[in-house]
Amino acid sequence: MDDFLAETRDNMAMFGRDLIALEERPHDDALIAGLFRVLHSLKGTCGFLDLPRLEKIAHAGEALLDTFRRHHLPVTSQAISLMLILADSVTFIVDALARDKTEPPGNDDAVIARIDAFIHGNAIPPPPPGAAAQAMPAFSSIRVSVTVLDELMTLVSELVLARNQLEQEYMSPTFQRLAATVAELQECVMKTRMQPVFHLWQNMPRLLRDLSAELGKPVRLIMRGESTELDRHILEQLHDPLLHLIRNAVDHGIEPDETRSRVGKPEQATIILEAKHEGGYVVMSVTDDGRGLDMERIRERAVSSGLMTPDAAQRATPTQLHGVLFMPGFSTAAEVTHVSGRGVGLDVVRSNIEKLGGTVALQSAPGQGMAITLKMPLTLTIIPGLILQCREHRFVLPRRVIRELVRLPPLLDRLEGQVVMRWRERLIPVIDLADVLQLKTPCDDGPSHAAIVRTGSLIYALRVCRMFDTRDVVVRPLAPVTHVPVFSGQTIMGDGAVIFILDAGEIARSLATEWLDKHLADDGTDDSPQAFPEKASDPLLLFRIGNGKRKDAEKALKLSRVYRLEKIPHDAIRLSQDAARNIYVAPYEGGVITLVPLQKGTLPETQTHSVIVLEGGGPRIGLVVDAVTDILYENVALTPGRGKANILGRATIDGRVIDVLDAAFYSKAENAA
Amino acid sequence: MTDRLVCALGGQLFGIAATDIRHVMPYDFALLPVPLAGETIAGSFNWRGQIVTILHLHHYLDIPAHLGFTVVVSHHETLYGLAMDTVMDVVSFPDAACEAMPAGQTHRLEKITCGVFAHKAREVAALDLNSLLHSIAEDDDETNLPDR
Repeated sequence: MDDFLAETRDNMAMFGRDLIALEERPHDDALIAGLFRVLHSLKGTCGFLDLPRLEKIAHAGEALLDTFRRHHLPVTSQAISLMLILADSVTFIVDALARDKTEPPGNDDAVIARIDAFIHGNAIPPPPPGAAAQAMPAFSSIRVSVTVLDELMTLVSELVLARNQLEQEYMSPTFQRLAATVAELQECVMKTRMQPVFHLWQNMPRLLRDLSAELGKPVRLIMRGESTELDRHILEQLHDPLLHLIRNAVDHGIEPDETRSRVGKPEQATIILEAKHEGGYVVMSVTDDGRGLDMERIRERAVSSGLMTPDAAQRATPTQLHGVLFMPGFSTAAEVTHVSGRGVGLDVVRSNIEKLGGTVALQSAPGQGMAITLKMPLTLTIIPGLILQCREHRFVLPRRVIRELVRLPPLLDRLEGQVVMRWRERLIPVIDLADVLQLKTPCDDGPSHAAIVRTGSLIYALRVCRMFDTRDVVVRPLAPVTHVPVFSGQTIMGDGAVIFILDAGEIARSLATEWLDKHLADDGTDDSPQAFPEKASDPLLLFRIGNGKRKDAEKALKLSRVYRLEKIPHDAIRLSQDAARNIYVAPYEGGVITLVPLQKGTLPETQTHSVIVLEGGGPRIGLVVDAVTDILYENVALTPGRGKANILGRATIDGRVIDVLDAAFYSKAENAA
Repeated sequence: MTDRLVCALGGQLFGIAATDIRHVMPYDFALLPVPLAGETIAGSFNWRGQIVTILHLHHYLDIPAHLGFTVVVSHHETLYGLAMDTVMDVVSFPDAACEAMPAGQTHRLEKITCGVFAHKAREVAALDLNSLLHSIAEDDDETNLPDR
């Protein structure tokens, strides 16, 4: 809304200038067309934002300009005066909107009547008395060039780097304050790059209208969360995938009229476009109330296109079959997609989203519709990454591709030349980073480590010599001459060294495709998390509290709300006395983490404390627990809790009833305090 | 008139347009080699919080070198460091005085320069940053191809 107002203000200023110019050059068709466009687009957006008064007056002006455009009437100075009055009215309404967030009371009938009279050649009524110019209100937003914002972002990135560098030497309170200020500044500048998804969505109603007419399927579009903000760059990149998903939904998802009325659905189908923030990500979904996925047809198709054996197809679970939709071989068969339901280029959608560091998930209820959900990071300029070492080089691996970190056994098996390992009952290839990078100096002795990496539909283990910490790195592009695809960028470390950021997808290309086809394609269909590991519900992290003194000591948290599990030494924890309560803090990732003991009283004097660090923006919050016991991947239904604010619900696990805590409750409480 | 910084590398004089130059410094820093990149791309290093990609022209031109200086140049907002033996003067050359490269030069030298100027009885090859970077990128692609 603010953007619309700022834009309209700018446009109307230009509109006024152009009107004056038109008076001097009444035959300038380009000028007339420009003026017409301004009001036309204003009118369009008004309809969209539900601003009837503004829409009405824009419509009147548009009609008048249209007569000029078609040369039905000559441009006279009387007409120019009318248009200028109209422009004033528009500015008046826009200013009121900025001030009161709503259209001002009253109407513009007098102006509109005069314009109508002019168009129809009638006598023009006199202007109503008291139509004086309005005072200029204060501006609440201004336009800044993208270049300046980018520059500001670069400067803040420099500042973050400098802070990271200093962090190695200082832990003083002053430095902590500086570090916190830098973090806030960074967030603030990041916000300037943010744009509401409305910018991305504004063409969608029109697109849907056209599609609906073209295919003869009445569809209405509901948009929710238009004001959710996302990095400008990511927003631009989302346009095509989103278009694709909407087209798919109308073309393949929504049934023809007859079918809909037969199954008792309203004739007009509904597509819901929704965006919201969730744990440092933006989640955008396209939901339709169409026929959903036809599992049988997907099975047939998966077999006939050679993606699955008939046997595997019969045994495949719905999730595994959803995964098939994202395989390149499936989607290229255009004629089948009409029959089978979905699949045009979903593989392309997924690869585009993954390039941006996002994920795609799909849910379908046969006969009731389906939803495709895109989960995007808020920004790409600063990413969390794991610092690892291979030979004498250090690298950054983006955290989003990492599933798990493991220590490799001393001896690894080979399967037809490819080193492989077992990971969670599955065979995955092991790629030695040193081989990929052709590094020749030997690794020092000791166990080697691997990051289990997921990229697209492939999971592999990336073997390295050492692993360090994860930290936020500022992504810098590689110099264009450095054409090394396995690096997606570079960054400067706290110690001043330059290191490269690895591209997990490109590293996977070092695997022989024949080997993959032979050993993983067949396996893959049996083992669907590869193709599509996202679960319908979140896995749960189980842990114990209460030092064994409590009966209900076992608790759970949704894993998606967990950032990391840490062991924090008791010595590192400081008690800072607040007026009302005890606050425990410890240094963490260049800042401070606030520790919340989950049992009453003071922290026990153990050597180290198990801490569950919560996901989310703002200062880090960690829950101190006795021990983390398990991660539960099965779907567990939550029943509503006992009305306690910190409990999300209860889950029954192996016959035990366990409270699932609400991470947001702790984040909110601590951030408020 | 174009001001050019005259530098020597392996017995050959090069003129680098002064407007491209950001900094000149001794060639004595810790360089991070770039795995898989061609040998012309010597590595990256952190210059005042900015990343500079160091180029070894002598590898590209296959001439001997005793590197002593780095000339940091900017091209489309990316910084490159051209490693040179020595750095001499800044000389104003009239653009009209630029002559075609005399015959007998290597193909590569011809590709990365836009001509020669006469200076103190010697020839200064006018370095064309744009062509240089393009040629290195192409060359790098070629050398990398068999590996992929």
